[in-house]
Amino acid sequence: MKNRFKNWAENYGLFLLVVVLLISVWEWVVKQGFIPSFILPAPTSIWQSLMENRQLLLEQHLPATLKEVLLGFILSLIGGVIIGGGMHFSRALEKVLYPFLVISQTVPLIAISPIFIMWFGYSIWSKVAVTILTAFFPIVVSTYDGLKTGGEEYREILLTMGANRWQIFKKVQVPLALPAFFSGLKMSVVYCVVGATIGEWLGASEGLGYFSRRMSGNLQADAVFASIFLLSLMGIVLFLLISLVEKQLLKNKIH
Amino acid sequence: MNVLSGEFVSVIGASGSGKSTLFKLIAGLLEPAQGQIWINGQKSGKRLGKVGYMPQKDLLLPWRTVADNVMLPIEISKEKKQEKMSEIIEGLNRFGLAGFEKAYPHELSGGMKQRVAFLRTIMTGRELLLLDEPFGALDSMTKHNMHSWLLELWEDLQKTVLFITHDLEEAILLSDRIYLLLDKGAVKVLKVEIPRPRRSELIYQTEFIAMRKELELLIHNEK
Amino acid sequence: MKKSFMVIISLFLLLLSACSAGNKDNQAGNKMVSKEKVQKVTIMLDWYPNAVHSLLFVTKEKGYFKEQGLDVDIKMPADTNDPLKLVAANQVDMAISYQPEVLVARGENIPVKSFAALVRHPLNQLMVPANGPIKSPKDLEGKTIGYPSIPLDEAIVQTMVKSDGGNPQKIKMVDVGWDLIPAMATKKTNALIGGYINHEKLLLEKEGHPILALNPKEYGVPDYYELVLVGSEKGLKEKPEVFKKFMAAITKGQKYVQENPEKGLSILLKNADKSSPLDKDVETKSLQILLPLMDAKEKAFGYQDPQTWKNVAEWLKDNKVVKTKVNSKDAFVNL
Repeated sequence: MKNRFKNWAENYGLFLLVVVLLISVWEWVVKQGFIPSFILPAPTSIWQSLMENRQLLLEQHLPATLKEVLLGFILSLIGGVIIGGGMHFSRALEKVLYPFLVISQTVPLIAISPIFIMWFGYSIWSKVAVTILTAFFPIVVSTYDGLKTGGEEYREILLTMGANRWQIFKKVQVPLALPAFFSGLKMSVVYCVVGATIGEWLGASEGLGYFSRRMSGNLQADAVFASIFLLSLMGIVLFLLISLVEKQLLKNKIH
Repeated sequence: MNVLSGEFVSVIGASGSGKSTLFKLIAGLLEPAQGQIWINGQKSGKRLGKVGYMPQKDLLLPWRTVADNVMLPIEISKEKKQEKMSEIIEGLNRFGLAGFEKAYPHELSGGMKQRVAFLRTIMTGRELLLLDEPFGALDSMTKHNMHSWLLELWEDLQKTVLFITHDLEEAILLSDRIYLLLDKGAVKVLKVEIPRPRRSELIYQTEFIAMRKELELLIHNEK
Repeated sequence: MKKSFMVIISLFLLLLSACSAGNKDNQAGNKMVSKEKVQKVTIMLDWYPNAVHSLLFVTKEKGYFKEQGLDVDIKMPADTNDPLKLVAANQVDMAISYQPEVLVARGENIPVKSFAALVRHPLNQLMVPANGPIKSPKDLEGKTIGYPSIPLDEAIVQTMVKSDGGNPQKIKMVDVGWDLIPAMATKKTNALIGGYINHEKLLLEKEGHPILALNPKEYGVPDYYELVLVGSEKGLKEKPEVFKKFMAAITKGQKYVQENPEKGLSILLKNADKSSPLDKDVETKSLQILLPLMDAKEKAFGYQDPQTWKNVAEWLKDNKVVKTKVNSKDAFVNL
């Protein structure tokens, strides 16, 4: 037990120290007046705002954004795997799709958002659409690249056993693709939080992104930062969850 | 080249003489530009899946347990896994790997991995097994242990084996016949007259040493 | 040899840029020094340059700023909340903002003051399709209204509906983000608040959606100044002459625009076209709407009526847009 704590302290101790230091400096800088509090609020006032609004934030806005994030993530996952896998199996599909995929990432949201609004109105789906747009690309790329990962020798040995293409795909290529795949998932889930927030800015009635915009209009910077804090927390927790799943699944895979 | 059912035939040749390529041809990974391959009296078309192939590297799938690795050929031929499981456990026991079913390849020693790979090859159920220097990467002691073990096993196995090696001792000890691949496509065949069942102490006997000398000379003269 | 030469050159350039950056800092913090012939002033607009800003560009081009010894740099905002905050933080000298917003800011202890009323009446009006079933605010019951999530707009709608005899609880307000046009154009909402009669209304009508605009001041909302000029408390206290000169210059500029609207507009378009071109048609109509709303009649251009400020402050407090009691007298100054 003592050893575990020591191990943990060694790994994260320095990070925590730096964080505490940064927050202290931040607090001091604002309280001394070097930066106006309506532009950068002090950590203590952010915490206060968080406490004041906690019911609204935790019971209404956080779950709303979380719903969009999870929906967007799951759909990105399914879509991304299908597209990435499809491109792996069909060179023709790859050649046709790849340019469109890149274009989808470079078109500015301002151009696309009216189209989303036309299709989905201001329902949750316009936000999920923005989330997917932001987050599916890493999954496509990581799936596609992951499936390309070597394994030629394993392929050969399976061939001698009489395996067909599909069996080789399932038994060799998929396990080999998992590390890259999980990298893509980790990136994607963070982008989902970003995407959901932006989606809410385009028009929402609840959610942390919506809340922060309203508070910004009210010139209540501490409330804005409180919601940003929760959004960051959400991103970190989701990232860690996927890392955990990755660790469990991959703990016996190739080193 | 001819191999009779139930024979253990070694193939010896210098590096680059095409031994591994030969195996790949037989296994069906490559197609011959010249010549033909006949299996069981028939000129074979698709050879993939008809022969048990054990390459130089054990190539155990690192993400599968020992049992799942050995189960691989069964999965591919779509037989029932449950039925074969007891066979696998028994096989592992026979191969000195009792209790290691749930272990992962990275937890095993080189010799143990080779044995798992060998068991996997046997599990393909094919009569003809191609073993490409299976003991090449092992240290001398482990190798000798493997020889003893294989000699013990041989009667029960009832397989036909084609075996690539650099080790003359190994070849003579294990085989019924030896093919020597020499320069410029020349091939020499030697019969090993030593009766079975054999024991590894044979390597110290006079006939054995004489045979080894003969082989060495043949190879040396070619250079 | 060549490599070290490049290194020296880049170091030299770095040094130069560092020096000039240092100089800029010095000038920004300058108090009005009699030695200085020209005073640099930065003003941040409320939004992209449009017809309402014609006076600024005219004043600059016609040299009225120069006459007053001012060198005015016109800046664009990144976010609609920026101008007010940056003025308060003394990062810009002045900005265009909104009267209610100034009161909200003071409620949050943000030290800004309004020093002139640019547009003296609401441009923000409740918009509904002209041929639709909604003819007055109480018809909004059971309908959806799109808005950009500004609490002020909520208060406006509630007051309008109540004063028309309707029940504001029966209205669904839908946040439609910053881009208000798609909400009405795609008929996703029945009505719109937060759009301007000189912008969104004109754009919607141009796209073939005739609009009926309901004026808040006819339905219980106090008449407020849509656009005001703001400065920081510190700036107004320490260098009031700069602000006075600024007002003198733009008063002249506004007169020019009033008397020569076409010429004034073309100067605006010339300047705006440098970054993103405007629709001449829309801006011409916009200016026609704006000019009477900017006219202070017998009073000096930009004059602010203390009663108006008082009314608006009270109304904002009653409608919980401003949480604390704000003394309206502190929120503005007539130069």
